[in-house]
Amino acid sequence: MNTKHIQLEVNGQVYERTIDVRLTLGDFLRHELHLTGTHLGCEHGICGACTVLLNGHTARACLTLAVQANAQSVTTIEGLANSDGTLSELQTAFKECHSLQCGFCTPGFLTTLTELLRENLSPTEDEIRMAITGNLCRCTGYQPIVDATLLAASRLRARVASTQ
Amino acid sequence: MKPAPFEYHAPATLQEALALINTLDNYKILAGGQSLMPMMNFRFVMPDHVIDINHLAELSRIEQRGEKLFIGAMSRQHDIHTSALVQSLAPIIVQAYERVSHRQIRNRGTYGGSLCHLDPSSEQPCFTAALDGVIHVASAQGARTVPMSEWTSMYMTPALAANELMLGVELTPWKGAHGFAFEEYSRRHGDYAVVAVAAMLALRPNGTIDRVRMVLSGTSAAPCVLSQLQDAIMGQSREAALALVAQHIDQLPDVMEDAHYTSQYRRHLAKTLCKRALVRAFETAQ
Amino acid sequence: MALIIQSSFRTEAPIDVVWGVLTNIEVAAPCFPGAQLGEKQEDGTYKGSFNVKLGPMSFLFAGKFGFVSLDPQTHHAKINASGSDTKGRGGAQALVDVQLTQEAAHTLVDIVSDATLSGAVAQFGRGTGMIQALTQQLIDQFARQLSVVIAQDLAATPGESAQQSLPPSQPSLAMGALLWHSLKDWLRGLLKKQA
Repeated sequence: MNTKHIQLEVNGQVYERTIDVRLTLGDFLRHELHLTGTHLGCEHGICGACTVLLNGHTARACLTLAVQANAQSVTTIEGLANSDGTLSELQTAFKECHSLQCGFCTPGFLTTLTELLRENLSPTEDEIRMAITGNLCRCTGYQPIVDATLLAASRLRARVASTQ
Repeated sequence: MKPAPFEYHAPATLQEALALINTLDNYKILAGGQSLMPMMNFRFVMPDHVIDINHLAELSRIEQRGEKLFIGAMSRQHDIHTSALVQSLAPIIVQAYERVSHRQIRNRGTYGGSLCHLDPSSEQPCFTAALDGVIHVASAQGARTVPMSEWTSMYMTPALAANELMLGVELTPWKGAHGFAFEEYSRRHGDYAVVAVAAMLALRPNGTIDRVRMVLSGTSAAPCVLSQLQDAIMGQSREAALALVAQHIDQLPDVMEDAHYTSQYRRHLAKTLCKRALVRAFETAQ
Repeated sequence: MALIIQSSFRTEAPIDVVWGVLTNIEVAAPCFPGAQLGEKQEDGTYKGSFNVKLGPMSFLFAGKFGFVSLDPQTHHAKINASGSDTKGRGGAQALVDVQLTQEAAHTLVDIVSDATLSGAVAQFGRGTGMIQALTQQLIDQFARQLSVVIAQDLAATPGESAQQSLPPSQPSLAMGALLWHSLKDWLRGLLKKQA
């Protein structure tokens, strides 16, 4: 057994564990930290369900070793809501637009689109579709996901405008 | 779907990394992990040692060196894709990255990793050949360079000795006005190419070809420089050049075939994509 | 994956000398890159293994092989070989047809392998072209080492035989390291510097 001690921040909280070096970040989040919102669909980087934010940027938890997250900051689906527990603008829009059915792919879509909206508050439909090429959804046909993103973007823009 | 047991090493310096690979057997370098981890998860690859080089910051520079563009092996694909320097010196690279996988993969995946994994359908070796890349490698004994034309030793095997590490690539951007196009066909956006073409050309005042480079990916183990076609279309007009594409693609020996796509289909794609690339390159050369 | 792989090599030695060495398993088998010869079985077959790299994957195939037919008159032999990866990633089975032909200054050895690959090695080996290229490299290295052994055999004083100077097992075939010898010819073909 080859183990390593790691310390990392997940959703704003610091955790320390001694783990097997071959444990993936996805399995670490789910089994060590019991943050089961990150889903493992394919374990080879294609489906996107395991997408988390590593130091603010999307990464596949199934293709990252947990030891690589040592001294890094991870945000999972569990960390996307506001600190008062209310859903983020994007999550609210997903709810309103029925952008999920079984919900298996949803955490990966939310982290991915959170990255998009942080970088671009006025994405076109094409830009949204391009951003989600790395996320597979079997249920929705993607249109409601795109609609929710456009809706969330417009609300975020309005919020920015109203504070100016 | 979990990796087999291994020992994990995370060298803090290049010297440490070179010392490790000088002595360890059955190791794999962990760079971006976007190609290695799937293989390890499937247990196609079961190294005894995983050497994580993500702490070697000196390997991720993107910089101009005289007339050349140097891209460090650990440069993240997203960083290259969004680099203003790359856009100004070699915009064909930016175009190529539009077709490389997905944002989540590009955030972690590295240029060096792609060149060492050397998938025949990959876009990055293709533009590297188009820009006459020279690969810098080092070992505990010293350093050397390998031109891209000699980089592919065998299917998915670069000309890297067991104790060598890739440091980066020196590319030669084209100076002066020139046109370029990166064309690709894949079934879904972000898939590896079935066939891709990198085309660059410069025109004479009369609109004929003064300089041209065309490289295919997806047809052979190494990126295929279309030297005969290049020679044939020198000095030609757009229409004359387009007319010469088909016969030269037909003359390519041994076009790759696999369970998904026949060599005949790849040839067909190569012809279509070469023509499209030439048309776009002509347009952008004006 | 079923495939037919054709490879060949030439060696400077008379046909009967080549035949003698090739059909002497204890002498010929260790010439194969990455090969370890095991025990002879009661039925005349041999256990053996060889390791080989295909791109990023390293396989250790263990199994058995033996002569199905041997005709010294026509210099024609058939070998049946089968093995599976010791780590469970697949297997290979091949009926290998070997034909020797005497040419002016060489003996030509033609090898046709009717092979079936299964598991990861079949999935990963992007089609027959890659396996063909890999096989030709293995055969080339085999031929080189065999020629060394034949030369030793010819140089041996009467009464000695090549069996007394068995070559050490060849180091496993790491494609990158191997190909420096035959690299340029093969690369030229790969990189399509059209004739």
